Amino acid sequence: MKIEKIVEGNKTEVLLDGRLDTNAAAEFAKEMETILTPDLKELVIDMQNCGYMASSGLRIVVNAQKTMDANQGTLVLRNVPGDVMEVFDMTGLADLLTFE
Amino acid sequence: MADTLEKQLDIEADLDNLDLVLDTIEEILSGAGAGMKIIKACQLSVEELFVNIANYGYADAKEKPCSINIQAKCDDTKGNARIELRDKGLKFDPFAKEDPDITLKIKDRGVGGMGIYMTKNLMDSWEYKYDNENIVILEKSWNL
Repeated sequence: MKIEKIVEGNKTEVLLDGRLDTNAAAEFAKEMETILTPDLKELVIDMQNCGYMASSGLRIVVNAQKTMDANQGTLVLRNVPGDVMEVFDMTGLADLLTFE
Repeated sequence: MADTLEKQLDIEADLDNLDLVLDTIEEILSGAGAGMKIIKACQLSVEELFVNIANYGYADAKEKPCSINIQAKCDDTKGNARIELRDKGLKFDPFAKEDPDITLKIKDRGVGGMGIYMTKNLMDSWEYKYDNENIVILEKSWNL
């Protein structure tokens, strides 16, 4: 999986490209450790090119939302494909996260 | 037209083999006319089980044998996949655990438990049995 990061002040946008399986999730989690700083206010995760997400990926999104809540910031999941949306739906997360 | 495709992987339960497992599922199922939605459902389900075996099934054992048999059948109107995972690790029924509470708020969410719940949601049927090894059988069908 390719992970691209665009940082602008206290806003960061992450673009995921490929299969977010357990191996990619380990890489993504490591990347998120550097992204989720206490002064981050806006985080966007763009999933347009990520049509597959295992529970390990889901866990990273939940952790990111927890951090952004603690930061009093926002997390937006952008361009989430249908198959991935279904995973958010079936795990009860669709109503707890912000999509656009 | 009726067709059966089958492949057996006899591999180590190691995350280095995850790509091989996922790619083989796609190869066999797409050969039997399954669409990407069905293929991904099977890939996700097998991934969650395989990752559990790789991470917990064998504790610190040196060898971690795991067999995955992927079979897909189709005729003119419908297709069916049957995927069997076998491992000789610790006796463990992945489906025995109570389903997670999916109504929990973000702050109350723990780290695990969702993977197998996803498998249950995505598959038509799942079965666990123990016969000197852990055996899991998943099935999923589709219309053509």
